[in-house]
Amino acid sequence: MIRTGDRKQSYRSRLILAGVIVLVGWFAGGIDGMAQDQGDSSTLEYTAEGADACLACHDENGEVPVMDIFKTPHAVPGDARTPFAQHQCESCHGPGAEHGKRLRFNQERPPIPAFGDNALWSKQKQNGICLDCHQRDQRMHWDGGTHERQDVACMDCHQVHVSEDPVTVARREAEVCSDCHRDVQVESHQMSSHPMRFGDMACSDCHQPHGSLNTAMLKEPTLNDSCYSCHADKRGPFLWEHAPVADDCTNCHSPHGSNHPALLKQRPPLLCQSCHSRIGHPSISRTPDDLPGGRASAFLLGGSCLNCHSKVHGSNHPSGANLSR
Amino acid sequence: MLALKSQWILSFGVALAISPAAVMAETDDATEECEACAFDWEPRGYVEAGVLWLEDDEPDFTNYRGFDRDGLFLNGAIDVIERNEDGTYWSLQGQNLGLGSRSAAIRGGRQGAVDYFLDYQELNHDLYDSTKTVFSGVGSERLELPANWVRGDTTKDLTRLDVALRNIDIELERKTLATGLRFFQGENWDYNFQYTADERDGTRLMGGSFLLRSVILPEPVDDITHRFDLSVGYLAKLWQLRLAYHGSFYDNDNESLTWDNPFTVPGDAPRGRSAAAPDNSFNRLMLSGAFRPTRWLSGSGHIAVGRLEQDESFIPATINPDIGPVGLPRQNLDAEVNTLNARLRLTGNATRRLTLKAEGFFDERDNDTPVDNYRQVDTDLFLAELRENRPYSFEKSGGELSADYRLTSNTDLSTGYGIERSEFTFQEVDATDTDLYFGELRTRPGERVELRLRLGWEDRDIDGDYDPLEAVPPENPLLRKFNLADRDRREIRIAGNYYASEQLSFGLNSVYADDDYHNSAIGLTEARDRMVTLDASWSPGQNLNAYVYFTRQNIESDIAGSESFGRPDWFAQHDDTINTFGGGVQAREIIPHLELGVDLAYTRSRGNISVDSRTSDQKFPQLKADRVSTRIYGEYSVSDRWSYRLDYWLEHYEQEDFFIDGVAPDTTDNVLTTGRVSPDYVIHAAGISARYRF
Repeated sequence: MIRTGDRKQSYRSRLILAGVIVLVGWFAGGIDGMAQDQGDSSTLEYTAEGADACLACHDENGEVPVMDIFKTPHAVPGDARTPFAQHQCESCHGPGAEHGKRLRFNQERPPIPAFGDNALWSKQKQNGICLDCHQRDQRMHWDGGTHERQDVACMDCHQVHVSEDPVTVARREAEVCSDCHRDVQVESHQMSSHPMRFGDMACSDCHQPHGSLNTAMLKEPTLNDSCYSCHADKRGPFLWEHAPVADDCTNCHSPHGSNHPALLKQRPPLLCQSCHSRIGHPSISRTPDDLPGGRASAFLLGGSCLNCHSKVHGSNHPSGANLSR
Repeated sequence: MLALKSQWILSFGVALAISPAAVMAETDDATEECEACAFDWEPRGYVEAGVLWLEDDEPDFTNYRGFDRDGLFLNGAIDVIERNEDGTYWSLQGQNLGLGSRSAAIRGGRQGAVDYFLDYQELNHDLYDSTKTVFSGVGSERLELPANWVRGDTTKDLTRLDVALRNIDIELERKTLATGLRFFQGENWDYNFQYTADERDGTRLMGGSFLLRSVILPEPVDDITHRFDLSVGYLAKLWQLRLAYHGSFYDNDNESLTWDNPFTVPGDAPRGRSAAAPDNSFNRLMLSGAFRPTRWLSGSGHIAVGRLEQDESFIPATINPDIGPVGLPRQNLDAEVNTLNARLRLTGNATRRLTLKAEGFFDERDNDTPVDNYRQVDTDLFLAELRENRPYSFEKSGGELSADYRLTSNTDLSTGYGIERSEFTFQEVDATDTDLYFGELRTRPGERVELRLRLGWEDRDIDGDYDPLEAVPPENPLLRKFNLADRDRREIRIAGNYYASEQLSFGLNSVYADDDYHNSAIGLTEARDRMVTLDASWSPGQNLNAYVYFTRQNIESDIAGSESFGRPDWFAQHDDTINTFGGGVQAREIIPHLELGVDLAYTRSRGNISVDSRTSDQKFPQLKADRVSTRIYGEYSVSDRWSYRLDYWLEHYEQEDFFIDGVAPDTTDNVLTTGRVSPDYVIHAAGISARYRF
């Protein structure tokens, strides 16, 4: 089955080898040179009063109301892992003594190290604060993932100082995702779509926004595995397989929405004729002459090809080779 | 049946929910004193009850919304949570409790020690209303014609058709029950268990044919999928590992669908039977891990081995008594597909400015299903040729090297190169090779502007020849299946944001993608997808948000065919254009004690299909779908605890679809259809409710 000796393969093998050598060399040379950057926050000090110092200025009437954090899992001193079992506000915002100090007349207040206006620390380092605690499961794949490389910060999607973070509520999650992925969200208004519009299905039912090694940041290792999670009847394996189905559901379907029934990318018969042109009816062009008033052809109207070949996802009938049983 | 199946699941879930204390670990309650911290250890939340009114039960509106009829509905919601200082917590949530889209969840445990949950969700999928059928027994595996049915050669000869037709609704109901437990052992170990039962019940449409005659049937759906997920994870300072098991077991209560033949056909089969989706199982073991030896180097990966099995007993090759029993090479398929999926990613900062990434993947679907010859009985009518099953396998592997370079403090450049090789069995090609290239520029030329430009290329080539599979009648040798064909893909993405002020921002997102199947004379020859999105949002304060957006998407496909089994002699273009406008406002306390919200979306879809053949160049009537959705709500708080809420929905949907419009059950001579019509409605719905907060 495997063909070898192709010229293109040989060329690419050498290119990959060269890439790996360069990569290793760069890593080896680069790591030592950057070690000095690790201690850039060592001079900062924590406040003596902890959250009491912060809450003296930041309360429910501020620009960003904060008091609802005391209704959240972050504010549970009984859980030794949480911010309020440690340095309280400064567990996440960084040592705040400098930011909270008494100011001289006309002196500008120094920024808080993390998660504030003009924060001292980089977005990457601020993400690291969250990931220090939230690093299990799929978050292990955050580094190098699409969102990480596009400089998406945890705070771009999450809200910490509210009693319920909207993006963690399935029915509201899509509202947050659509801030950046509006083009995907609007597809749910098309003729056929998954139940995204009503909140009965969330983006994270299929996607893993915290990083994934899989195509399109999917949770499952393959795209088809994602679809089979809810559509296990399409999984087979069938006696008579329709290979494009087992290969990739998106060969025929647009998962976010479509102008055609069943999330199809095109209407049959043209969708089917993209891959089938056998002698006989599959090769015949269907024209407006086939509409009611003309030939009223069953090869076009209703379900078109599916009027007979209804088992397009595969058939387990011994006589179902042409996917009509 | 749904309730019966769910009983033991529910019992198990409740047992799980009330027994976490035994596994709770003690934690250190010590904390710094904080006088200003307003810790909240009392139960809090809300209970809501009210009435909903729906003007009409049009399926396109009720679909997924949970209405199963028009009129009045009692509805309710609840959301209660209690957290305690020691980290224990519980919550109870319920939404749409009076509707067919109800959901409920119980959660509890102790933070950092144990978490458990029990979730339940219903989902109605209303497909078609007023669909017509002549069969009785809808929802069962046996569809029967009326006793006085008169069979005919064509639909025009079915003299009892008009009196036999009756309306049925085609709809599915999905019920999902999930329960799970997670607990931690020390700082390093965690254990997870989750069980999900996903049940479906209802009908959908399928075609049942007898050679050149067919009838559209209400196919029963009655199945359940049991899913088990177990995992154990170990987290160390610089690395972590997780071993996970996933089991999915599909159980279909239906074995087949048998229906009376409404036509007189050569061979005179009185009944037909099709096979339902077979029971199947999938078991997978996955090891995933990540390491971060320094801040400058990290890697993660997974490897998963799985097995998909199916041994449902075959139904007979035919039920036509005139043909009699037909021997089968085996009683069930005894199908087995082994899967292997592996991914690895390394990310490293080579210098302060340069980040390098290397990724590799391997996906295998190794189909070990036995290959045999099966005598075909064509649509229960006549014996046909022997056919050998073709258990499909593939192997896909590849990798990508990419680099991000920080050109200035405001500008990043990225570039990358990837390869992918796909090998297939029982396909027209043995393998394809793909080269991928991309370049990306991200810049903030000013404080208020962000821009992103990405260019991508893909070049997929067949390795070897394209040899059509043996088939009778044969496939046109010039056809190239698009998922296997030589393809050049070009993609341009431009995105940007302009922040006019802290309150006002504008966004642009556009994509141009072109797939050129340059060696495909017949089949899909080219596909283009163009999309542009413009949006603006305005948030003058915490109490007011407004947004508007416009999206235009154009999807074009060119398909060529040949009626003469030679060079292409007809060319079709499939062109969809979808424009969507939307906007909304949310205002809180602009008027004292009142929260107001409006969401509006208008989607205008147009589909044009034209066919240029040797004799004519014709356009089909335009496919149209216009949807205007409006939702307005207001919530007025009469006290800290009580509020009243008013919701109003208005939706106008109008569709024109020549595939079904004007197609009565007997319009086509040889297919007895269901007489579906495109929806066209204006629907109002409203709700009033009272909410008590505590």
